[in-house]
Amino acid sequence: MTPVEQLRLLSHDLGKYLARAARNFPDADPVPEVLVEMMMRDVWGDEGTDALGRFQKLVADAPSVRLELADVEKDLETLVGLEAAVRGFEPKAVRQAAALCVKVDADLRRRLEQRS
Amino acid sequence: MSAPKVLVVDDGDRYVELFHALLRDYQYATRCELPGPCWTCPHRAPKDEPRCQLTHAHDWAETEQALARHADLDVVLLDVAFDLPATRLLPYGDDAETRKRKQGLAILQRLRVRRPDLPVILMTSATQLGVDGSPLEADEWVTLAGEDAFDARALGLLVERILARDRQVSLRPGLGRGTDYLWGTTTAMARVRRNARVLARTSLPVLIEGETGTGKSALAERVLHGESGRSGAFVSVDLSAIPETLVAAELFGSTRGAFSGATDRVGRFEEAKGGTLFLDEIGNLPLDIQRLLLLALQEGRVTRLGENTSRTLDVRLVAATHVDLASAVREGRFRADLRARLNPASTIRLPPLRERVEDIEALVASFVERHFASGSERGLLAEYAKKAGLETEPTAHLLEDTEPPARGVWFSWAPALWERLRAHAWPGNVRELQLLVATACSLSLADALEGAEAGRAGPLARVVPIPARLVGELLASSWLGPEADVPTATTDVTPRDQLRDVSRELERALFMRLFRETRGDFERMAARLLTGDPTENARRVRMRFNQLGLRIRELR
Repeated sequence: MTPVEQLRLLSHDLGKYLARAARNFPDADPVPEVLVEMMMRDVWGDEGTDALGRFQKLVADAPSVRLELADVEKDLETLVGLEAAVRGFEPKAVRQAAALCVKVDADLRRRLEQRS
Repeated sequence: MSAPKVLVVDDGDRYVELFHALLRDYQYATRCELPGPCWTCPHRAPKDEPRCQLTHAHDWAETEQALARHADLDVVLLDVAFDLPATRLLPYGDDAETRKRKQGLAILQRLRVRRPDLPVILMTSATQLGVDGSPLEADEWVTLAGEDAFDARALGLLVERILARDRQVSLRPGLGRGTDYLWGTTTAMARVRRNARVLARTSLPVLIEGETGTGKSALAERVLHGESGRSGAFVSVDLSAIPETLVAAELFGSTRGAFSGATDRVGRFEEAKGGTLFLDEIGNLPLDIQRLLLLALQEGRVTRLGENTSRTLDVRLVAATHVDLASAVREGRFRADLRARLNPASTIRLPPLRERVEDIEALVASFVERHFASGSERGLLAEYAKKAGLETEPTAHLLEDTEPPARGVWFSWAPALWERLRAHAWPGNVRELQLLVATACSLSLADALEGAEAGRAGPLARVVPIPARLVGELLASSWLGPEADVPTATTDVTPRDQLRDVSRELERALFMRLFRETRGDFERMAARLLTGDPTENARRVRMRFNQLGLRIRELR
């Protein structure tokens, strides 16, 4: 798989789905519970694999892409580290997680556009 | 007004979950018996595992179920990539990966046949689709990708825009939502659809060009008239079927004594008052009648033969021809000023079936359903269903590669037959295909009934196979068979013909015959006509072929 194909896969299979609920958060609090629960599933998954794990699996055979996306991986580490606070519906953590979801999606798409 | 109803077709549940959370002003077409929206359903708490599968359609079979259950659907939101087992996918493309990645396009094709009126929002982008964008030319397709992916607000705006457009169209008098015209999915037909629908909403004259059987009359009636909102009648006149001496009286009407045998009668122009007058095969109109028609169009009035009073025209004119009117003008057979009045700028060119073979499967599916929808054919189907012990309304369908649903009678075509149908030249175009399908289905049904009654076959089944042998015979024995594919040139001589014209006709006939016999191989044609350098001769033959006005595409 070429780096461009790798980025397209990451953007489609990870970024797009990660931003699904977060993109739809209202500007003002409170964020509807149903959306927060949806974001939890987008980030931490139903089957115990979180967004960071999915990222690492997708780039396992592409060390150069992983290196290029070091900042994205760092954001994902921060994101998954917010699990306890988000599951506790702490408003600040929920907002921070949503912002990171949208950022990761945008970063992946930007990298793809630059490479294409 | 009740809330618009949306059907989501997606292999996953992410979109539908989002819609149910954020777009609650809509009804959703579920496959569930329970009343009320999903978000109030006690059986579908968000954390339920496994999640409810009845919220939407995951493949074409489930889409069909939803369509059958919800006749009042307003819009479909359709995903494109479907990560499902092959048994749940419709055929599409040449390999398994394409079939999965573009399954939404296969579903869209079926939707276009089953519910041509239904707006569809395609949840992807042309880039992601990896196609040249041509299928996206259809005007009711909208893409949703990039930053807009999963953006419920953007999606809601799209749905509203499409519904508003649809409401505007539906509110116009005389304008049905479904015109029942089979558009197909080719780029050429997408262009026809867009142009026809735009022109339908104007009062401009429209000229339709296309070979015989391409659907010119249906386009004029169902779309250009059907979607025009005009309250008057659609009046069709086949100018090639009326004797030359009677055309004027037919079009303009007559009074008793105007000519020998004349009676008081209203002409077709008057019959079409407030509606549409469709003049088929206008290229065949005699020159003196062309003059009268031109006068009527210029002045906006008609006068019955034998009468002095003229009547104001309130008619939308649609003309059709299978000949190239521009050539006919150059050759002096058609008036340039009349052609100009027919608004050649708005010409709609219907492609022949051989240039849209991708649509054959969808056309066959539709013809099967239509053939048995009424009349004696419906009676035959009802008899079959009764004898087969099927507790069902007598409906007929084309069997795809999935198991047939529990209702109706299904006709199955051997996969090899599709190739044969695609390879056929179809000089009679869509009409020829329709007749072939009707004949094959009726004969197969009757054979099955007779076989069962005579004890030659087992019990009648829900699926009726169409024998490949039968279709082969129909293709070969039809007047439209391969031997009749090439048009023949006339070699009759009349007193007005000049020798060079007769000679040219004979030469054209010879070239057409050689073209057919050599399967379009110019070197082999040249070898039969000339001696010397084969390459140079082939070039000369090809040049002469073009000079004679012959076109490879038209002869293949």
